[in-house]
Order: sequence, then structure tokens, then C-alpha cells
Amino acid sequence: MSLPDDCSVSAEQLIAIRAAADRMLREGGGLGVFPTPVDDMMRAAKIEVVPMVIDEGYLAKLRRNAENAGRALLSALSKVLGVFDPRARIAFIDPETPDAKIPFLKLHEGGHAVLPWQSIFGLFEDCRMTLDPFVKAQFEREANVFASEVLFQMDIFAKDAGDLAFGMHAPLALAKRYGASIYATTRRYVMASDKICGVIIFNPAIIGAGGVAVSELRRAVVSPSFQTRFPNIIWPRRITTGETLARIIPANRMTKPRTISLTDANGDAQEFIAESFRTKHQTLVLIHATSTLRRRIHLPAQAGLSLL
Amino acid sequence: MSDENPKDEESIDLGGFLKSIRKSRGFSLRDVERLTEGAISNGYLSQLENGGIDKPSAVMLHRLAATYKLDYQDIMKRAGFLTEAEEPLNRVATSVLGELTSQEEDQLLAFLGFLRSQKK
Repeated sequence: MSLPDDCSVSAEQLIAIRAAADRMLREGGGLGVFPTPVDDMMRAAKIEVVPMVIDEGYLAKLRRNAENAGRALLSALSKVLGVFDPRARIAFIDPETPDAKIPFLKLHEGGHAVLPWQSIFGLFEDCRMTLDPFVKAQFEREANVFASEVLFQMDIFAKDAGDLAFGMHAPLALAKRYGASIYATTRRYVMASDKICGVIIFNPAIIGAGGVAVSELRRAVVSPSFQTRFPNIIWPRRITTGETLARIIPANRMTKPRTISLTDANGDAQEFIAESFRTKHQTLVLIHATSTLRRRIHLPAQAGLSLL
Repeated sequence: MSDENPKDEESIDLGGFLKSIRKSRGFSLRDVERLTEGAISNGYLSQLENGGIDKPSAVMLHRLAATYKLDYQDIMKRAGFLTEAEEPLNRVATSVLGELTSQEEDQLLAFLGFLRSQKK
């Protein structure tokens, strides 16, 4: 089952998020520094980052009083990747988070700290009140967008990406440059692109009966021009050994660019070029319209004009 | 009645409440647009006041609270975004796999309180 949208925000939210991201980058000395100095910026924003580790004495005392409460705390901590305490201004991070994901996670929690309207969290935690789930989900998406804006230094990333040849090698190089995970970088790569492109993300293959491997769709993220040109593409929910699309799931680390066909809501087949990269946590399939590969010739006298 | 409650505020909806507060402050729609440097356009505010926006964003409500010098938590309640609950949820800013139950949240908040007390 694919995961819900985790990064859509309205224009008004994006403006406010980018203003906060710009402030954090400037005040934390992050602009133009690579990899993005996340710890310096968190310090400048007076947000402490601490591993979320259970206190055994606290847990033992809790369990003596109420076993259920101890179980509930352990269950909560097993689910939590990060949590921000607004009263102490501390971001607690799951110490088992893969290294590559930590910068994004820190900045996500930092977003909860610096986006002013999210201060509501600190105001009602002692009350028996529920925050509307729609608003809570919105706050989480805003924190994701904030983290991406800061980690990839807002518009600097798109310029860097534009200087590289389009393809899977570009986000791999950019992930190292910005100190980000390949997953977050590839998502940013397509979302910041002016090309008709996208990334389809599959969970690691699960081997079932008869040795058949099944890769489930996690999510698909596309560029604005892709959304305009192909608004009705139907993403494959899973890819199983033996089917035509299985050749985009790499046996090793990467596949070379290959032509694939996806169907839109009208039942029409649309062709794309796909190349894939597999990590321990997912397979990323970068797709783009054939025209993306065509070389652009820039005319120096007319900066805005390009020829296909 | 305080000057923040120019009408029977409990009986009116968010839009009506915001309209009466704006008028009590002596602001026109354009004044608010100017005071917020264009962040809250007069068209948007007019729609909001007249019930044309079902779910205003917290960003906008926070800005209005600051502009009118109102309690932000109160506006969030009035918008229906904060409600009393026997088993409250979503009280903590977390990235989680799945969802926390109310009891898990209770214990997480208590644990955060303990960690805070340890740092003092």
C-alpha cells in the first residue's frame, strides 16, 4: 500500500516555510556551506538535539506503579523516530536512525521549533484536548518541507542540479554534496526540476512462494511539469518477478536507462526512460520523458531562450 | 465584556468572530492586508469572515492572532482545530511510524516532562 502524501503544502504555507528556512540558513551560516551544516544551524536556532533513550530507572518505577503505563511508553518509543519538546526546545531523535537520514530528521524537528504557528504544541499538552488530525498532518508536512528547504539550501540545489547531466548519477552526487540521504535528495531532485520527470519509490523486494520477488509501491513524486503533462498516470502498485516492469528493479545496485511504458487513466500507454538505484531501504526509479535527454543549446544573448 | 469580546462571542462562528474583532480594532480589510504586509489579502480575509473558507490554515490564524493581539490557542479552538476529548490525541510534535494511541501519548508526554525535570 502506498503511503499518504507527506509534502504538499499550500502557496501561503510554502511562503511562510521558506521565510523560516531562509532565516535559519542565514542565522546559522548555512548558505553556500557543504555539506549543509545542520548541527551549526540547530545550535544557532537554540535547539538542542538529544538521542531518545529510555531511562531505565524511570521505566522501572513506572512499571511498579502500572505495568500498562510502562508498556504504553515502550510502545510509544518504538514508534517514534523523532519528537520535539517545545518547552525545553529539545529535539529527541531515535538513535537507531540510519546516519544518512539524521540531518533531515533533525531539521524536521527543527521545523516544529521555528515555524511560529506550530507553537500550539507547547500550549495545550497539559489539557485534555485533541488537535485536529488534518492540522496535525499539515504540521508534519510543513516540517518535511522546511527540512528539505533548509537541507538543500532552497534555490541553490536546483542550480547545482541544473549544472549536472540529467540522470540518476546527479542525485547520487548531490546527496554527498549536501550531506543528505539518497532518498531525500532524489525526491528534491525531481520536485525542483523543470524537466518532465519523477521518481517512483518501491519498498525492498519481499521473496514469496516459489522465489517470486514482490516490490510494493511506497510512493511516487513528480516534477511540476510532469504533473501538468501526465496528471493521470497510474503507478504500478507492485512489481513482481517475471513481469515486463521487473527489469527496472535492479538485481545489483543500478540499472541503465531503459524505456518503459506506463498507462494513464484513459488507458493510453505513455513511454518514459527509467533508471533505477537500489539501497537497503528502497528502490528508486527515476523516470523522465524522452525529451528530457535532448540537449539544450543556450543562446548567450537571450538568457531565457533555449532550443531543443 | 472585555474589549476582545465585542459581541456575544460564544454564539458566533469563527468568521463572524474575526469580523467583529477586526471592527472593534477599527481596522478595514485593507488595513489588515497592509499590517500583514500583504500576507493576508483583503479578499482572503473577506472570504474567511463570511464563512467561505472551510479550513483556514494555522499559518493564517496565527498571523491574525498576532495582528489582532488575540490568544492563538483561543482562535484555534474557535476554528474547531482544538477540541476537548476524553482520550486526547495529537498533543506532541512527533515523527512516528504509524500512530500513537492516547495512552501512548500520555506516557510519552510524561516521559518528556521527566527528561525536562532531569535537566534542571
